[in-house]
Amino acid sequence: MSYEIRLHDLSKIYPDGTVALGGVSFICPRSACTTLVGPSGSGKTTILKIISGLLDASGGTVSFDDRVMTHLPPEKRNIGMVFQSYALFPNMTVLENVEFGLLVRKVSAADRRRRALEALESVQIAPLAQRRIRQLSGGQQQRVALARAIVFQPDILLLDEPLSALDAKIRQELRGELAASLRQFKITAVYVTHDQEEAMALGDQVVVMDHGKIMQIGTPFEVYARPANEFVARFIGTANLYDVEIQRSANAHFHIRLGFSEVSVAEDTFRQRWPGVAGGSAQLMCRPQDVSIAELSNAHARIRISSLLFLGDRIRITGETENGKTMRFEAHNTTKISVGDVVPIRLDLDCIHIIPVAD
Amino acid sequence: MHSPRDGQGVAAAAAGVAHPALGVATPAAKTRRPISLWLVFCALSSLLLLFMIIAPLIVCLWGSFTTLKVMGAGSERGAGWEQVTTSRDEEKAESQSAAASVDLGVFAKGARNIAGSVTTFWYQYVWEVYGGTLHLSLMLAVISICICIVLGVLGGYALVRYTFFGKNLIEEMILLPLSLPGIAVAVALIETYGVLRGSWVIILFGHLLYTLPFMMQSVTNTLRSFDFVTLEQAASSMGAGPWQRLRYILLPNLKHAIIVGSLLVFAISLGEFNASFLLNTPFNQTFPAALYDSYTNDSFQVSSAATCIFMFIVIPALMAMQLIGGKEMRDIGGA
Ligand SMILES: Nc1ncnc2c1ncn2[C@@H]1O[C@H](COP(=O)(O)OP(=O)(O)O)[C@@H](O)[C@H]1O
Ligand SMILES: [Mg+2]
Repeated sequence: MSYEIRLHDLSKIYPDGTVALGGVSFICPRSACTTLVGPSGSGKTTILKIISGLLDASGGTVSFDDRVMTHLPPEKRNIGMVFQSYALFPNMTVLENVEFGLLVRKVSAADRRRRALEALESVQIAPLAQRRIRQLSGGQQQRVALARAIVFQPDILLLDEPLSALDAKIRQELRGELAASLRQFKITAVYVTHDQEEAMALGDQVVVMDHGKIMQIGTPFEVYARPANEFVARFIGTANLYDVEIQRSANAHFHIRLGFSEVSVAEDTFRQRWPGVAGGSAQLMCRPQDVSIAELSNAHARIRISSLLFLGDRIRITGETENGKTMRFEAHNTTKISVGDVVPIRLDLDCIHIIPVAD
Repeated sequence: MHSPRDGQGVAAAAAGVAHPALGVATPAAKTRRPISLWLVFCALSSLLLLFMIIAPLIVCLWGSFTTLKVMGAGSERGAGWEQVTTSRDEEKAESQSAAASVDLGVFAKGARNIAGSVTTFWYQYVWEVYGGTLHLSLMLAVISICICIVLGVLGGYALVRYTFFGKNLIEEMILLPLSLPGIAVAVALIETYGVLRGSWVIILFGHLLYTLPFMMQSVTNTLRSFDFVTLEQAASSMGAGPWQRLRYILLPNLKHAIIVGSLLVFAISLGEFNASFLLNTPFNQTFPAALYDSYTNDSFQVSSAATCIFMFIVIPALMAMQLIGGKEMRDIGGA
């Protein structure tokens, strides 16, 4: 059985006065993975601990479907949890660790063993069942932690930065495996990470947080391509952001003045894509891959190149606009350019995004 | 497996075979020099250890098995020896039933007439005279261990797990007795619990003041050496209630800390002299206090035997402690 997690107006003030959460509400859909992403200290772990019951909220409610869980201790919530440090029991073998959730549920010894081995099988480390915890590598510990959390078929799976303790290569590998596992389990999962790529790769829904508040909730595509505010635009991926003045012109177009250039978008398209933006001051966001080197005749601006970074398949270019604004964009790795060149560029108008100015 | 140094030695030897003419002695000498320094250092420290600890032990051991004849005249300490043992006999006779008392006067006279050079007479003597105090000491040590386990685990848990007002003060208070002279502790205890004077309970109090800090330290060190708060959170997220967490997580992980702490408590309680000496009366005399009596009143052989009995009990405890301490490091992986 899996539930939808409903968080309503959660707040948390720690005894020392730190406001870790200031009124957070959202729903984690049933059988889907919701990723919570934000810089360190934004309150992600706090939310996870409140969902699990390890921490009491200062205000607000947690419910699984219609069951209010707010005051239930963690052991009564039937949740599986993977900790950042894995928190495997050093006094037990791998198998005993995985059996633990079944042991406290009074499952018979034979059943325990069978189900624990199945779980270890599903994370591909059954041969290590008799090892002690300290004999495992970081990646193996991560798998044990996952097996241990799902073996008793919890209603909800909570993961707190499960990959952050691993080195980059293993992290990449396990991210893919974890994504596959989560899909396969069909369990309501909440996955905390400070890595925006991980958040987008694993989440059906991404919740972006900062300073104990929600900055945006959306699909990975939405938070990446249509950030709701400057924070999200800067935190998720790399963004060029420019202050712009928007004016409706007589010929049913919106003119967007960037200071170093001007682009226009048909009124219908503009209203459909940015219904909240009326005109006046706003911000324009374009991602590096939305900017390309163009023919002079249809260029939007000229950029003086200040640095080049060879990334293998492409070159990451940083340059300056005529009015001194920074622009980052990319070019194919065969492009012949060097620092100091002035190149004409064009924005992909289908991909730019307008962010209303916060009041 | 070869250590890197062995490897070097092998390489040097190989070089020696290959180029006998090229002054092979130099690399060989280079590899040998640190070893010989090391040997000298080892020898010196062993000698020091021998003189400081082992030599007195050997002398005690020897003395405890030898007869007066071997020791020669004058080894029998003081003319009052017979008298003292006799008066001790009378004292005992007062406090215990006459039937249970041993005729120590006869014992003492018998001592002079033991034939041969090796005897276990002194051990019998110590057993007869000081057996009661040894029994009391062992009892106090065992009770101290039990109380220290309960208080040490509960208290150590509370200190590590929770933050509360006065926590630092409590931690300091627990350590305080260690830095107080035994006499101060004894006087304070007598002033406060005067009614208990003459009962073993007051000595137990004294022992607890000196032993609890060690159990506490052993427990809190272990609790702090792994992120045990998170372990407990993990257990409760997996459905374990408070008792299951205690049984499956806390106690198993504290097992070695408790064993090591208990052995420390045992060794300290058994050997505690300062406070016990001031707190003891003829009715609640501990073995170390009795040892003092035997040093001042009895012959060298008697005190040697008493010391040896003491060692036979304490040394195995210390060895067990070392064994278990090493095993703990291997099992948990040094956290
Ligand atoms: N036990 C605590 N006592 C006081 N402040 C805390 C405690 N735990 C976390 N905080 C603070 O609450 C905020 C949110 O923390 P946390 O939820 O751990 O953030 P994240 O997981 O997003 O890095 C941070 O400012 C952190 O310093
Ligand atoms: Mg965190």
